[in-house]
Amino acid sequence: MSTSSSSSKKIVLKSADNETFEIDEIVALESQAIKNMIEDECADNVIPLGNIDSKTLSKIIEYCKKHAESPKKDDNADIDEKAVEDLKSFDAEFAKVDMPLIQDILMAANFLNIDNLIGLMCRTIADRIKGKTPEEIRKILNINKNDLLSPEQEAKAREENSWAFD
Amino acid sequence: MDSAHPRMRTDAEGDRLSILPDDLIHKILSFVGIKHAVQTSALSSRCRFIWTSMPSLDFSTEKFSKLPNFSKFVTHVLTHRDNQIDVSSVKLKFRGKVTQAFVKRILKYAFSHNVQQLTFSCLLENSIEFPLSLFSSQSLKHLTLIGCTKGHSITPRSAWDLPTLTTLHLEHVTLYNDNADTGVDLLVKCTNLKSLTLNKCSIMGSDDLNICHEQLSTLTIRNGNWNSKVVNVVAPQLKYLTIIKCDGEHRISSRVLLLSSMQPISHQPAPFANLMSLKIHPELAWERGHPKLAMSTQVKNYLLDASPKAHVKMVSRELSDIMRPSQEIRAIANATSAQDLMEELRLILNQVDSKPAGTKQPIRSCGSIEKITSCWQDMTAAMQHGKSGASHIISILGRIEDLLTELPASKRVMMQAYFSGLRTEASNVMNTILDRTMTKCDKKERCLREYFHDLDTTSQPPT
Repeated sequence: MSTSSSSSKKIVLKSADNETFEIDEIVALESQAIKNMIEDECADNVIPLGNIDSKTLSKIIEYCKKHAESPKKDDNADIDEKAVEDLKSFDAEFAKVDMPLIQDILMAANFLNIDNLIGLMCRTIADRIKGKTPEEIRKILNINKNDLLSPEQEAKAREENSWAFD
Repeated sequence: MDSAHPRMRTDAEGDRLSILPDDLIHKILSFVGIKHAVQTSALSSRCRFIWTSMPSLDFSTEKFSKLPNFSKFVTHVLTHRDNQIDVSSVKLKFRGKVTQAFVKRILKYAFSHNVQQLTFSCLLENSIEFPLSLFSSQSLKHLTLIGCTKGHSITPRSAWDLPTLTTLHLEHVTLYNDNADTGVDLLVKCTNLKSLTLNKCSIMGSDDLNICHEQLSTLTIRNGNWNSKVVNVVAPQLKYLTIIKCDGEHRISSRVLLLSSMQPISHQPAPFANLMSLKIHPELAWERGHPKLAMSTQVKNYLLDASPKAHVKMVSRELSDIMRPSQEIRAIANATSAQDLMEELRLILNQVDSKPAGTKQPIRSCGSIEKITSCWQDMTAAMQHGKSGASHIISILGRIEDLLTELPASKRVMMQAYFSGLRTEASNVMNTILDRTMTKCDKKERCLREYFHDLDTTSQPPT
């Protein structure tokens, strides 16, 4: 369980738009990148996160708080099923946001090295594009028009991989 | 910290997929499934060849109507994939009769691309010899082989050259152990094995099964179909040993645990060092009229000689079967009485709430002394009344709490919410009781003071 008493050590994160977030160290430790910084003793002051905006950062902190206060899975300890279920439903609710925010969270989680969150976001994107037509997927992922294949190239790609299109 | 990475685009117009690094796209594609992953090649130039460098390959026949289509698909993936990129994990789930050559081809590809994790499972009855012994790998760490539930279907025959393997899970697998002449066991070269699980496995061949691993720390054997074979475990680092439902002659636990009874144990060192936890389920042995498997002190001392911290637990089927229903009945009874008590408490709380603010005492017209005495009694009664009301509520709360702690976690959680609501209410009600008591006492106090005053003014002896 988290020790969210006022005496616990605090870490201050600063978003790209200069908003600061003070969080308990135990919450920050969910991020392997920040954990490394703390271990290397270079997290004394404010940690600037120049590539993460405040909207994304506050979502990430929400996630880390929840996961920090949930009991960790241990190989041989009895796993509290209720806690696992609770975390699952939290994750499901957490992922109910629009695609741009999901991709921002994914990028930020990747940068901060939060393994579970990376997995959750990748799974969410996968679930949203599964079984969709290429046109629908392009729309869902907002794929840049400049990045599209020419009709000839697209036909070639389909031809080459025709064994996977049936 | 912000210099090395490009600032994330936050405008809704941006194409975020293109700026995702390859490994993240690979991860997304691994959730999408390999067939759809290949189909994404037509999406955009960023996606054109990205699937060819996916490090994890998950093949499953469930998504294919016919086996030939499946094996063709797998072959296509392997030939179109970027040959320079290593494979971190390969999963293969198949139903029907895949050929030996097909399995061999996949294994060959996986091993030549430094595979670390390999999972094979048969979905339908199918007997194949698993040709792992043809390969040697310096990369494989995790191996899972799952045969079909209808029969033992995968049969590895000769020793595996997998020195880096740490986790091995075998299910519905027949182990061939017929190398008595060469003295080679299947797992003898897996020198780094740390965790071994055998579920529903059986042994073929003349020899007993030997599990001798220097590094082994977790051993789980379930549903062992050993017939008259014996399993010998020599694992100095073993920390977690689980043996459940091993049928046949039940020689496995008697061999492991009572090994000593057949040899003079006092001359041998303990088989386990630093054993942390030992659970024994000696269920079938009782049915067969074996000597009872409750461990003798001698055996226990022998086993745990080098493991001072070990926690030993004997679990028997009979006992657990009897225990479970009775515990359940008790849990249900507890839940019911907790509920009843909560209902009772609810009634009491409501009653207190709706009670008029104090019963009016008839004003008695009598002498001052009588008035004072009566008033004083009223005050004591009010105090007493408040005290008994509060303590009744508190005692019910305590009883509910005791019942709740005895409930299984799942039931407890459901009731806990209601209970904490009740607690809050109870605390409010008790405050009300206290307030009322105080008001009553205040009134009586004022009366008393008046009477005292009256007493003072009327105390002059009548003239």
